[in-house]
This record gives sequence, C-alpha cells and structure tokens, in this order.
Amino acid sequence: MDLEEVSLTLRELAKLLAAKAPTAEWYLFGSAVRRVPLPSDIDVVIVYSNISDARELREGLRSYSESVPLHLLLLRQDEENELQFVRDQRAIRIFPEEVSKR
Amino acid sequence: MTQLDRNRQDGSAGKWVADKIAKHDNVASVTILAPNKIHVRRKKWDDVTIAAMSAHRVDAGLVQSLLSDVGDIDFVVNIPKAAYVLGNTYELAAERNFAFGGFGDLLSALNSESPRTYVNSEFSFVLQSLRQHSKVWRVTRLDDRRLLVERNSLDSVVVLVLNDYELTADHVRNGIERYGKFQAIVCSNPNSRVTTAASLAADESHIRIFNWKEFLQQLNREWTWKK
Repeated sequence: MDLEEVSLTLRELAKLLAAKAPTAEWYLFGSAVRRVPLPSDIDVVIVYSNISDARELREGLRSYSESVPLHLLLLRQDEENELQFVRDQRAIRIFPEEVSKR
Repeated sequence: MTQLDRNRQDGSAGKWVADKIAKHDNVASVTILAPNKIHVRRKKWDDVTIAAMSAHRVDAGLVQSLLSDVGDIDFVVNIPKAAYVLGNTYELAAERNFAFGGFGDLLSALNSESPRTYVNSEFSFVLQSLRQHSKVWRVTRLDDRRLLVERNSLDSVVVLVLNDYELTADHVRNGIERYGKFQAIVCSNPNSRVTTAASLAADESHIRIFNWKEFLQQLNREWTWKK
C-alpha cells in the first residue's frame, strides 16, 4: 500500500466529505506511516466534532474500504484532548493540509 | 448474476491481494488463477490457494457462492476490515476445512504451516479462555465480534468483544447500531483505554464495559443491568 497514493486518495475523500463534517481533521498513523514493507492495514484517525459527523465520515469511506483494509478510528475532539492520540502516535495530518510558514 | 454475487464488490480483489502478498517474506511466487482465486507458492511449507472477496456483510451463503466459483481453497480473505461477518461463516469454514479472515489474518496465515487451520490469535485466546471458565458450558460466535456465553446455573449473556487500544464513544454507538443486542462490551486488549465519552455512551444505553479480568469475574455472577 503506497503511502503517497493512499494519502492522495484519502485527501480527496476528505475534501469531498468536508461539506458534511467541516471541522474533521484526518491523520494517518501506524504501520503504513512507519513504512513497514507490507502493512496489514491503513490506519486512519479522524478527529470530529459532532456525533452526526461520525456517521457521515464512516459512510463516506465505505466505498474506499472495499478496496483497501482501512482501520478507521473516529475520535471526538474531547476524546482526542483526553487521549492525546495524535501526538502519542506521531500521526501525520493529511487534511486539512498544513500551511507551511515562510 | 445472483443477489449474493451482487453483495460482493470484489472484481479486483484477487489482483489487489496478489500484488500485496507477492512482497510477503514467505512467498516465492503468486499466480492469479481466476479474478478471485490466487495460487501461492511458499518458500517454506506447502502451496496455498486463496479466494479473495470484498463484502461489507458476509454470511455463509455469500462465501458458499464464492466457493462455487473458485472450488477448493485454503483461505478466504475479505478486504473490508470493518466487515460484519455472521457466525455461520465461521461454521462453514470449520465444516469445509478452510480459514476465513481479513488481510492481516492472511499475512499471518502465510507464516503458518497449515493456513487452513489458522485462527486469529485474539479470538483463539478469547474462546480458549472462556471455555476453561468453570461457569461456562458453551460459547457460540454470533458474528465477528459478539459471543453468546451460556453458563452453568446462570442466565446466558451476549457480549461484544473489542480489541482496540482506544475504546471510544463511536465504538459504543456504532457497536449498538451494527450489532444490536448485547449486555456488555469486553475489552480483550489488556492495554485498552476507555474514554470518558465512551463510558457515558455505554451508561446511557445500560451497557457495561469490562476489561478481560473483570469479565471473567462477572461470569460468576448474575447480570441484572440489561436483559
């Protein structure tokens, strides 16, 4: 599972789903990010705001998850604040894209 | 095309699996025999024949339709990681002597001498541990995550077994929506962390959350909070 290809696809999906879950932040973590030669899955964590976002995000990823083994973790913002998952896992943000400082 | 076939979105599943497992340490060569059928020559141990599918909901009938297309196989791999798999799928696998699992399971099975008898290590531990419990007389796998535990002189219980490192409110809500009836969520991962929101969501639905040790203790008692 090529990381660049996966990131690109997920970023496109995130853009499409931004209308339904506008505050969602998408990250990649786990073996694919660690560049394990043959990862067993693609780990994605999405930090969301409202309960309805979670349903929309899962439904929006349904089709893509038919073609790759996607491990989706949906964390509400307060849960992310509690767990600090993104920091601990050194997850890479894929959407919204980071704006580089000059 | 039958209704069962339409539930499988797996026209390219075989090629995807073949491309990936070609990189596996124990794989010498991979041949695609049919769109859903792959033959693997291994560096160590016998060759393996794999059927690949992609379905969000799997039952014995669906797998049976795949088998009628591909014939005798060692392992059926289903790509969607969050697929809902009915218990009769595992019964069919045991009856027909093949293994069923996700892509991660397939990678592990390729490292075992007999992929046909491969059992996911998490569920192997769960089932073995429950069958040794003095209060348990039978355990039935209802689907990929729910177990019916029948107990000696106590009511039967249905539990949702989750192995995630983080147990979130979404796990609880999605678990209820997807699996329906169960009385408790059991974390089989000893390092699992349960968020405050997950605990609140479970409380609202009168569902208890146990770690593995607590669950084994609770099996000795009457469960009165939800029938």
